[in-house]
Parts: sequence; structure tokens; C-alpha cells
Amino acid sequence: MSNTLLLIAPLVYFLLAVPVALVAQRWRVLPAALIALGGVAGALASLWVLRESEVITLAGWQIAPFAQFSVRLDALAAFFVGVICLPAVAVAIYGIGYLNAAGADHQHAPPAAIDALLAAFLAAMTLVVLADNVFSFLIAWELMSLVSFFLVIGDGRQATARRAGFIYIVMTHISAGFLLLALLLLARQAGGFEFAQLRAATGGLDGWERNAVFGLALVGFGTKLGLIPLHVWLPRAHPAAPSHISALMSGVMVKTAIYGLVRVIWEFAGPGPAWWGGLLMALGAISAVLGILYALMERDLKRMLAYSTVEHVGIITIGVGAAALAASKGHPTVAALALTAALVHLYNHSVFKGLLFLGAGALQTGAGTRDLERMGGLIRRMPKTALCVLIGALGIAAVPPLSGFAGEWLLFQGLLDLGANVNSATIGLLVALAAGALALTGALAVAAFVRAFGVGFLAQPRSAGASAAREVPTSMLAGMALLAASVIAMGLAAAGVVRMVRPVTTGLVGTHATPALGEGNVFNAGWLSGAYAPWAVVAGLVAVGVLPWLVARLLGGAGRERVAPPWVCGVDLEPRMQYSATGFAKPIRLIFQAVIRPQRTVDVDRPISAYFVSSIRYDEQLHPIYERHLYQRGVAVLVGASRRIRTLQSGSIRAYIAYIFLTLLVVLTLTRLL
Amino acid sequence: MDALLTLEQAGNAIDVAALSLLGLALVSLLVQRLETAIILLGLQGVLLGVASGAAALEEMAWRPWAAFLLAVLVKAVAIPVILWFVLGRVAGRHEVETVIPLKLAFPVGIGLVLLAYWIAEPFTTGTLGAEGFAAENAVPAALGLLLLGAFTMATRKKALTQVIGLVTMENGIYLAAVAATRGLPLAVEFGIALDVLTGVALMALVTHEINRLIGGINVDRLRALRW
Amino acid sequence: MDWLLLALQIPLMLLLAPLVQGIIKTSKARWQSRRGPGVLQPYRDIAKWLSRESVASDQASWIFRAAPPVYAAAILFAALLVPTLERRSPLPAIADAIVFVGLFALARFWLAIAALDTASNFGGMGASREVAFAALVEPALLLVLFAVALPAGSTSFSAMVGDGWPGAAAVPAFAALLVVTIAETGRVPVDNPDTHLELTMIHEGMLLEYSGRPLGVIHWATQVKQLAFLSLLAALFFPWGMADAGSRAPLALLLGLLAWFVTVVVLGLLLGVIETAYAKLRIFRAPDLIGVASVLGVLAVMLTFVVEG
Repeated sequence: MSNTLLLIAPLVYFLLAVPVALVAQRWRVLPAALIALGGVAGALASLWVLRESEVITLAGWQIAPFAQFSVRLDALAAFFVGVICLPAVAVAIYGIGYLNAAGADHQHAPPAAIDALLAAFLAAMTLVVLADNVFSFLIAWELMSLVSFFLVIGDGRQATARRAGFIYIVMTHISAGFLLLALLLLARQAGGFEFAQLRAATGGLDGWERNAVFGLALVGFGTKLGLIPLHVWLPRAHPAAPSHISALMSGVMVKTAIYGLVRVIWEFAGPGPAWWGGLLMALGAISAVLGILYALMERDLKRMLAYSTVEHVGIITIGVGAAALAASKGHPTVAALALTAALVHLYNHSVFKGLLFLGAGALQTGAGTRDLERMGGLIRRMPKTALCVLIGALGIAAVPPLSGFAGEWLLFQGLLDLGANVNSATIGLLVALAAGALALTGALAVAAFVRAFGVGFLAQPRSAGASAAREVPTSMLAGMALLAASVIAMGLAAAGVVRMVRPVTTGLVGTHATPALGEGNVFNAGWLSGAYAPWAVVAGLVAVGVLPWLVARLLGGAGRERVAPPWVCGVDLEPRMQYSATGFAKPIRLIFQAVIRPQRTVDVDRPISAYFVSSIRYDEQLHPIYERHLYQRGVAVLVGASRRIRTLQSGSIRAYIAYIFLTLLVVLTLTRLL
Repeated sequence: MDALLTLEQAGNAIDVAALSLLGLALVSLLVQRLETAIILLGLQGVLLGVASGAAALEEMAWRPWAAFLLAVLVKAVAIPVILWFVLGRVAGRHEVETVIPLKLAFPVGIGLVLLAYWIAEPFTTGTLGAEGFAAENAVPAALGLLLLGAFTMATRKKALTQVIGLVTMENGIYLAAVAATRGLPLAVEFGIALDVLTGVALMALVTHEINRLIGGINVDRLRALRW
Repeated sequence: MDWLLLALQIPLMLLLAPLVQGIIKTSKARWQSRRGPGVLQPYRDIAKWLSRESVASDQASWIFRAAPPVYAAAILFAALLVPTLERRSPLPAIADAIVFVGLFALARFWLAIAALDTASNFGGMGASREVAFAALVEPALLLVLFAVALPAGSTSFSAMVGDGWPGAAAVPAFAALLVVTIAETGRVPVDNPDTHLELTMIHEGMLLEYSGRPLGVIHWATQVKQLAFLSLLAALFFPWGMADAGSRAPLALLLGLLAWFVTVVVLGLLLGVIETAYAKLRIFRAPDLIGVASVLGVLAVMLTFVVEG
């Protein structure tokens, strides 16, 4: 009984918070407390299940003969419940102050409604990972999409939000359509809708069916995941939502697609041929590199973070792909290592991406803008927010010893392990390219977050709003501080996160990465003694950091410092002299212009003579190739077809009824004949 | 309480009611005046009441009685009254306007009935015996009502006649339910009845609006709304 | 972890880094028919900076003050990972080649945000260029390390050090790492360490607002970085004369020290020759050169499969 309680406790809290949010509009602490309780309950349940390696099932509630609602908490689901619940706690706390604060970017919808939708959103996501049959899964999936759609459009008065919401809902339904097909195909083969039946029937699938299921699931989940080129909705929809919702959409919601992909690849469609993994790795690498490049080109902080999500989703997909490839080549330990890497990075990303979105919301609240070019100097006016965002930026830029690095370290080890075990030149090339892409992504992420933090928080304010910025309320700071502490803790105790993932890989691949990985506080990678001990690295950094200071003190005595204006060639310092975010990314734009294809127009106004310029207008835009070739063409075909079909739309009700009547006749006749 | 009718007697009663319903629906195709059509629709409701009443007398449980009450209240009383009320407020001539001549509509109707019998042939004998009443004509008649209703909707110009077609179709479904399964689960019956009632109320409202907007209830004029 | 080795390597890196810098500078001066300031000049410079007062930008926050120690710590720690005297890393159980790369990213992150912190446009320019070029250098560096790690079967530097030239696959790897070293140490043809001309500068741009002690610390750390990269080249490709792992024989360690120093100095001289023989590339031509290094890195990884398989 208590086990079942574990399973449903977070759900109950989240669902309870929905009516409470709507009724207790004056005490917004109540729903927040309920959500936070649910988050804590879910996190504890997740830890418990992963520790005890127990599987809890709850078959319940028959809605219709074919449709039963059943849920199950196994290791994989428990891990994802954890991924959902940790940010949920922070977001709930943050939301209290954020929605009350003036000047935030959510004014278009009443706070109570957002609270209620937030709770429903969390419940839906939890249900997605708990669902144990096709029916429950699809219902939860749709619920998740719909609730987030409403959160994106707000009250529908903003044209950008409406458009973002429209693209989102279209893409998400394309995704749902593919998923429906994949699951129905599986269910047909299995003769039932329960996931247990699907698992049992894996052996009965022939190669063609496996590939079809994988292809459908890849498009379906890939869309939700935001894999390039299926990501078009992501950088539009994520920034449009209120920031703490963006944190969940970017940090958590996209991960449910990884959950689905992992379930399909390892449980429903069985380990497939090697090309599944190869394809995933290639798609992941492309998404990672292009994602971070686009992120670097953005000056809207939230859009930039959304593109960075595309990047990290790509990194995670590389890991999943490497694991699938290793599994199909018969190297379970390699697969376990790569999968561990993917899942650890996934968890880490949900935390630091959540933190950064919360930081973006804090900037919107405190400085009144999301535009990097209008920030600056905020480290003095919002010092606590700045510290939290800096921790998040260091985490996401994957520098040791914070959490982002631990995940990427594991992934590099996984790739090397794959290359070392599978001796084939093709896979060698794949490994080399994936590793190169990963390294490139890592370095570009450093550039992107140096730019975001440096331009956003440092130097002089670039606008009136930034110079009048104020620190945000305590509840917002508390939410951010919780996640910032997690970024540090999950970096230092990365081995603990690895241990958490163990039962998941054991359940899926049959083994976990070598015992040494995650023992004590050292990472020992699968095959040999490549090691990374976060604690020891921190200790070493502190030790050797103190050293030069001591030497300097011995040699030069106490340091003296004078404060003076910086040298700007003899004129007065102005904020406009600072490097802008656009300018900062210029070298990267130039280096990668063949890939991202910027288009720029420069209008120079010379009214008097060629030597006197009165004004310069500089406009630079990115028109991604796939948007023009893939989407615009697709939409054109669709619109053309619709136009032709429209001749059927005569406008006469009788004609429509006649269609129905004729269809009825034909169907009835056919049933009689067949 | 003991059953007042045997299974066979009830089956015969339903059979008769079904045939009468089919006949009424065919006659409706020939009707010129809207008032008459509404009266005939009410009669359909009464006949349905007879059928479900027979079923109730056979089973003597509260469920079929509730279904009987619903059928009578909704189909024989509520819907005709609503339509009558709407008709009273509609401008223009209270005549049926069709896209095909009435003389042609009747033979087509007979063809549809024959088609219905042909399609329903596998279900008329024995197959439903264990579950349902031994009413040979019930399922073909139900199908016939469905087709005739759809045909009415497709060939009539006025919104009101289309409501009549819809209710006819629904009556078919209801008849099939009563005859074939000895009563659906009450929740479903209740749901259907409410659905249709709401549908009719809505259509009545819309008809009223159409009338107010375009000065008549000829749906052909809605074509102007197409973009 | 080997405390003796660690106790030797810390002073080795700190004390010899300026000397290697001095030797390279002097040799370059000789190649260019100048006398040069002498090999000890970097020591004198550092001593001078450390004792001078520092001037901070009035726009700068705590980031500006925190960056130099973080930068120095990350680089010194990375330098301690590279095998020098023995055929193993002094810190094998703590950090491997991937952490080595990560630590330089950490150093770069802090120096770049500190440069932006000053509100000076030169800082922004330097930071912008540094992170852009690093984006190209890092994959090349990592692929080289992969190419060596794959046959060795480990990313631990201890395992990656062999007995001699590591084989055919090492040719592109060596070339790539040489280019990486040139780029990471800010040398011609990628950057020019001797100038503050804004058209060309990368690394120096970030330091423009630093002075006095913080500047001394940064310069010193940068010299350690140079020595670390030269040591990496030596350890991966020319591990001749290194003492066997775990050896405590003083003679073997002394020989190892000698062999390491000679190799590092020879490689440093090679850098000096390259600097003299080539002209600085236009700043946006430099990515082409570094891109070649990345391609060489991929080639090196591929070759390990061909050679092994």
C-alpha cells in the first residue's frame, strides 16, 4: 500500500494544486506549497525506487473496454520522475514572487490560471513517464502538449505568442500522429495495449516492422525533442511562455521525448540494427552544433536559451545513439556507459537550463528586458541573481567542476569506449565526428555563455531599464538558489548521479557500466583508468590557486589596488563603446557563415559627401536553410492541396449532408458485400 | 412484479411499431406542409414509445421504464414542441422546399428501404435472437429510418426539415438499440436522448438566427458566407 | 597519486615556465638578428609586476578580481596532469586528458568574462576573438588526445605515454597538436604575443585592463600553459628518456628531467622558428589553419582504426 502511495503521491499533490490554485487566488503560497510538496514526494519516490530497484504498478480505472488507465513506476520512470520533480520544487517557489512582480513577461494571463496550468502541466508530465499502456500514454502526452500550449499563448493577445502557439500545436500534433502510428503498429503486433504486452511481443516483430516503428517514433519524439530540423517550434514556443514555465518546457518537457525514445528503442522495438544508433548520433551531432550556433546569434536571452536546449538535446541524443549502436553490436557495457552519460547529462541539463530560464525571468522582472543589448552592469544591481546565473552558465558551459562537465566527460568516455570496442573504420569516423562535434559544441557553449553573462551582467548598463534594475524578491531568489546549489552538488557528487542511473541501465541494457564507474567519488570510465574525481579537482584547484597568491605575497608584499576609469583612447567612457552581444558573436558568425548563412544589409547614409556619414543602419538576419526548403515548401504543398480540396467546400449545408449520406450508403453497402 | 408481456409478445409489438415507423418515415417524404411534418415526427416519437414500452413491460425493471419515459418525453413531446415553437416565429411560407421533386423522392425512399432490408439481411434472422427480441423488421426498419433521415437532410432546403431528418436518423438508432439489445445501458440512452435534445435546441436556435439574419430559413442562402 | 612526483612537478612548472619563455624569445631574437633581452627577462618582468600596484577599471566587479587566481589555478592544475619526469601523470586517479581540456575551458571562461567586466571595448574584442578561436582549437586538441587514447585504451595520461614515437597514426596527430599549441600559446601565425595592435590581438586584448600583480599572475600562468602544451607534445610524441612509472631511482628521475627539458626547449625553439619564418595570418584567415588541425585530428583518429584493424 505504501508503495502505491509512493507512486501516486506526486500526482495527487500536483492534481490537488489545480483546484486550489483556482480557488485560493489570494493565497498563491498554497498551490505553490502543494506543488513543492509533490516535487519533494516525487523526488523521494524516485530515489527510493532507484535504490531498492523495485517496480510498482497500479492498474486501475477501466474507462472503456479497450481503454484502461494503468501506471507503473520502474527504474526508468523513476529516474524521469526525479528529473521532473527537482526543477518542479524550484519553479513552484520561484513562481510565487515571479507572477506577482510587476514588469514580468507574463502579464497577459492571470497568475491563478498560470498556477493551475503549471500544476496540471507537472501532473501531465509525471503521467507521461508513469503511463503503462498506449492509452494512458497518449492521453498524458496530449494533455502535456495542450496544457503547455495554453501556457505559451497566454491570453492570446500577443501576436508573437499566438503564432508561436500555432506552430507549436501544429508540430506537436504531427508528432502525436507519428507516435500514435508507432504505438498502434506495436499494439497490433502485440495484440493488446498494455506496455507489458508490447514488451513481450518484441520478439515477434520482423525487421521491417522494427524499422517502421523506430522511424515513426524518431519523427514523433524527435519533434518534441527539438531535433534539427524538427525543432522550429522550440525556439518560438519556449520563450513565449512565462519564464518559470519555459524552465520546465526546456528543462523537463523535451526530456519526456528522450524517455519515450529510450523505451521504444530498448523495450518495444528491441535493439535494432546498427544504423539506428548511427542515425541518432548524426542527428544529435547536427542538432548540437547548429543549436549552439543559432544560440550565439540570438540577442533575446530566452530564445538563446531555447536554442541552447536544441544543442543539449543533440548532445543527449548522441549518447542515446552511441548506446543503441553499441547495444546492436553486442557490447552491453559500452551501451551502459553511453546511456549513463546521456541520462546523467539529461538530469544535469534539466537543472541548469531550469536555473538559467529562471534567471532570464529574474532579468525580465528586475531590468525589464530579455534583450542582451539592453542589459549590462546588472551584477552590481542584482548581485544575487548574477551569482546564480553565473553558476548556471558555468554549469552549462561544461567547465569542471560543475555538473555540465561531468555529463560531457562521461559522453566522451562512452564515445571512446565505442571506438575502442567496435573495430570498424566507419564507426571510427562516426566516433571521431561525434567527438569533434561534441568538443566544438562545448567550446561554442563557453563562447555563448561568456557572451550571455558578460554582456548581460557586466560592465556598464546599456539601457535606462538596466541602470534602474532592482534585485528580485526572495522567493524568486530562493528558487534560483535551490537550482544553483543543485548544479554545484550534482557536479561535485556526480558519482552519486551515476549510481542513480545504474538500475536504469541494468534494466534496459542488462548491465551497468563497469563497477568502478561511480564507486567512491571517482569516475573510472568503463575500460581503464581514465578518471575524473570532482572533489579532488576542486581541492587541487583551491590548493594551487592559493599557491601563486602566496608566492606573490612573499615576493611583492601586500597588494595595492587603485581604481580608475578604463583606457578608451582618451575619450569619455560610454556604454555604447562596449562590445555588443551581436558584435561579440561576429567572429563566430564569420567563421561559420557557410553553415548559418547570415544575410546582412548595411545602409550608409552620406547626405553631404562620400566622406561624411550621417547614419549607418545595420541589419543582419538568419534565415535557416531548412526553414526555406523544408517547411516553406511543405506548407506551400499543403496550402495548394487544401485549395484544391476546397472545391468540395461548396458552402451549402445540404452538400455536406449529401457527402455524409453518400458515405453512409457506400459504407453500408460495402459491409454487406464484404 | 411479473412481466405483463412475454418475450414473443413484446417482439411482435416492436415489430409492428418498427414497420409503422418505416411507413411514417416514407409518408413524411410526401408531406408538403412543415406543420404536418412536425406532427408526423411526433407520431414517430409515440411509436418509439410503444416499442420501448413493450420492452419495458416484458422486463419490468426500472431501467427500461426510465428509457420509455425518456423516449416519450423527449421524442414525442419536447422535440415537436420546440420545433413547433420555432416554426411559429419563422417568416415566409411554411412549406417544404426540396431540391428534387417530391414525386421522385418517394420512389428513391422506397429504394432506400429495399436497400436497408438487403443490407440488414444477416441481422434479421436468428443472429440477435439470444440477446434481442425476435422482431424481424426491427433492424431493417432502423436502418431504413437512418437512410431516409439522411436523405431528407440532404434534399431539403429549409433548416427545419433538416432537423426533422436528423431526429428521424436518431429514431432509427434508438429503435435498433431497443430491439437488438433489449435496451442499452441507461447511461448511453440517457446520453443519446440528451444529445439529440441539445442538438435540436441548438439547431432551433440557429434556425431562428438564420431566419433573423437572412430573412428565411433556406440554407442555400448560407452559401453567401463562404470565403 | 604520487606525492613525490607532484612535489617535483609544481616547482618545475612554476619555475621553469618563464625560463622556457625566455629561451624562445631570445632564440627568436637571434633568428631575427637581434640581441634580445636575455633568457632571464621573463623572471624580471614577473617580479616587477608582482610588486607593482594594480589599477582596476572603475566599472569592474568582483569578477575582475576573481579571474586571475581562477585562471592561474586552472592552468597550473592542468599542467600538473601532464607526465614530465616519469611515464605517468602525477595525478592519474583524479583527472585525465578530458579534464585537461576542460580546465583550459574553465580558465578561458573566467578570463573572457573578466575582460568584458572592464567595460573597455578592447576587452570585449579580445574575449570575442579568444572564444571564437578556442571553439576551433578545442575539437582539434580533443581529437588528437582521442587519437592517442584509442590505441592506448585509456584517457589517462599515464597510459597514453608510450616508449617512443607512437606510430604512423601519430603523424597527423603531431601536426595537429603543433598547430593547437601555436594557437593556444598565442603565437604567430595565429596571434602575436609581442604586440598590442588592436587589429591583430586576441589574448592580449583580454589583458589590457590588467596591471601590476594580477597581470603578473596571468602572464606567469600563460607561460605555464605554454610549458604544459610543450610538455604534452613531448610526453605524447617524444617520451624518450623518461623514468619508468613508479621509479624512485634518483638517477632515472634526473635523466628524465634532463630529457624532458631538452625536448621541451627544442620544441620551443621550433615554435620560435615558425614564428620567424611565417607572417601573421590575417585574423579571419587563422580559422582556416586551425580548421586544418581539426581535419588532421579526424584523420588521426581514423588512422588508428586502419592501423589497428
